[in-house]
Amino acid sequence: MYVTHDFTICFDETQYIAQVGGSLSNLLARPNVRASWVAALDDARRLLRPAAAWDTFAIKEFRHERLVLANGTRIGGGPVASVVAGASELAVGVCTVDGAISSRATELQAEGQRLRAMFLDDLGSWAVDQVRQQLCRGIEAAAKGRGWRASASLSPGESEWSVSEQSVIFGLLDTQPIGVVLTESLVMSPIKSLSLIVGLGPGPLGVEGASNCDFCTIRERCNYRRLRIMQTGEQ
Amino acid sequence: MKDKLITAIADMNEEEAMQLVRAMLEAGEDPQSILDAASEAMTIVGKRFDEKEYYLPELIIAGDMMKAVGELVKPKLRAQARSTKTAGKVVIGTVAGDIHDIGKDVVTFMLDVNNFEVHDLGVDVPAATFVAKIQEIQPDIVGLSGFLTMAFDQMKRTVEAIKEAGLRGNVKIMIGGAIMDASAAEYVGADAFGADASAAVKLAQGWVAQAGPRSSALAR
Repeated sequence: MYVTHDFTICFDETQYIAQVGGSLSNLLARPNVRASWVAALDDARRLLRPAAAWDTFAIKEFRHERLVLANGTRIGGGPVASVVAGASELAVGVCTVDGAISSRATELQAEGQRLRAMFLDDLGSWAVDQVRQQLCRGIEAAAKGRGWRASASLSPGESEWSVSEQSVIFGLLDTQPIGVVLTESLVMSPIKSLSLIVGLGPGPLGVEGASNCDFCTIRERCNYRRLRIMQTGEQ
Repeated sequence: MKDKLITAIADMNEEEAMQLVRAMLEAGEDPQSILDAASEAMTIVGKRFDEKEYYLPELIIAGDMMKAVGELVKPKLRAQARSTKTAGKVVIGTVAGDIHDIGKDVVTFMLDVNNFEVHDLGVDVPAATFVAKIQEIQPDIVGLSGFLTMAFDQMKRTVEAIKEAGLRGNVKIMIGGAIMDASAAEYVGADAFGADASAAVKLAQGWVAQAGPRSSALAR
């Protein structure tokens, strides 16, 4: 299993304003709103601890909409089998920015600093999406290094892939080194965490070059997708 | 001045709004009518949010203004031995297995500024926690929020737990979330769904008005 902390998180104010909407630009001209924003940025930069754990697993066979891994684990449902169709291996990963951001946002909320708390919470979500993107690019680069290809990535809960599959992912990885656990109700803790799979193989795969947004039902109104497009140009 | 106050709050002019409130109080304006004007402004803010003219920061700033107005008029209200009526009690939360909170927070905010006493249980809330809170505060309304498809079953389990605890007859239950609709409400055993925050407030107000004075629980 691979554990990495080597991620670069970038918060660009212009991109954030564009994502939120034009009115934020006017609001940020006010000293109190700007102070909340700057303080939240400081908090985020100080508290972010990006990390990811991932590994690859040989795929034994595709059985209907599920994959059977060489270790006997069955994973899939929803669009999984069609997205990774043709893959020989499945990369499975969990990434996080740690729980300190959420704890701080909760503290700020309790203190009545609601605007700063909202900014910080938003920054945490934006950061974990950046970790996800960088992890996927890393997995893709590793595959290319072997002359292989990588499919689009998918996360439980996206599209029709059931969130209950989180337990399968956490059964495959030891996420203790990055401090992420799965609660009884299948929620990752810290909350600012994401899990994902990517199909890998030497030949063409089911869906390549697409983003997880392409499988998401709220893609047209998702703020984080807008941010991602601004940062990476990815559609 | 009342209209100016409404415009100042709705347009996010905090300083002007507070100056107006102070001036109105000094001029002997009825504090209740100042609060009513602020509530009217909040309705405009909510509408602008629904129309995507405003985003969460404006809701938060408006909420802070409403709070500040409340602080300024409270002493006068006390002096008049009048109190702001609570429209009703609401217990709200995102059901277990789901951590999405933006929609729930907006509904909480809108109910709050419309004089509801809102008890927000947060996210990933187990059915037993809803039941315990209902037993504790005896709300009129329970709001179940969820964004994921798996929230349907968790909402159903929560409604069943409320029923098993013998509390279903005492509360109206609404559900909300991007994927919720009338058929989801029927599936989970809720009374209705709120398509957005404004709809949720209208539902809550309608139920309370139907039930009469606050002291009488909302019977199904």
